[in-house]
Amino acid sequence: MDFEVLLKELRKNLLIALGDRYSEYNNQSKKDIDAFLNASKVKLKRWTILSSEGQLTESDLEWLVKSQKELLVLEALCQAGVSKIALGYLKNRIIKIVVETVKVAVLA
Amino acid sequence: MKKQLTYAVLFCSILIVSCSSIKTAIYDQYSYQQEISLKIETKALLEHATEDYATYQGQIVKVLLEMDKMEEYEKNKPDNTISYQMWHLMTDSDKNSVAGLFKRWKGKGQLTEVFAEEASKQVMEAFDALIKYEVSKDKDKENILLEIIKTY
Repeated sequence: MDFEVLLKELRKNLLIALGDRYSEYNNQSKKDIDAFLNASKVKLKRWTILSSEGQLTESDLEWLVKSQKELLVLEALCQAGVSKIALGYLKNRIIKIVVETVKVAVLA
Repeated sequence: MKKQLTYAVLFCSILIVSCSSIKTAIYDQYSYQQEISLKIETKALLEHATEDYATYQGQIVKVLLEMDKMEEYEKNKPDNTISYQMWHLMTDSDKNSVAGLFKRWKGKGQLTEVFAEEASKQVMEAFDALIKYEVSKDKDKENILLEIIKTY
């Protein structure tokens, strides 16, 4: 198993899943993605060692790798949701600033 | 001045309309409690995954039923697609998450110690992602409340 190729693929898929819609939060998302991928790398190495020692069957290894893919989906959903919340909050602030500015201008 | 006001009202209207696409359900204490409770119950059951499935079948069915109820609960909340999708993945026995792991335990009768330990960690992480997202909704509420307090 080529870890680097697998991790590159995981990173690419995660960024695609998050999309450009939340580009304002890409830096934070990228940090979280990197943290997730680093954790994935450690797990994949451990599982491969356990498999080579016969402590995990091929089917066990396959199940675990797929479970990491499911976690990737959950992480992407969570990141997209958090970005959405932050974006909503930002828009609320903008509306508030505009309203306050107009109020001041009208009263002046 | 009138022109300025018109532009501002127009700008706010566009912003409000665009906000409808980023609406998110507010933090729900019941969801949070259920997520924590089901995580702990699942963990306790998986500690016995090296034993016969039949011994724990009743408890497992009960946990899975509670999870299905939560999926339905989240599905019917407005602006809650992300939480619903997360629950859906975890309750789908064809996915390699919570329900999928119970299905594997059932199929094998009992799981090996190493696999049970590794798979259990994966399932706990899935619950953690769900809990993390619910808590992030609370931050949003906290920020809005802080804004209100600052204003008044």
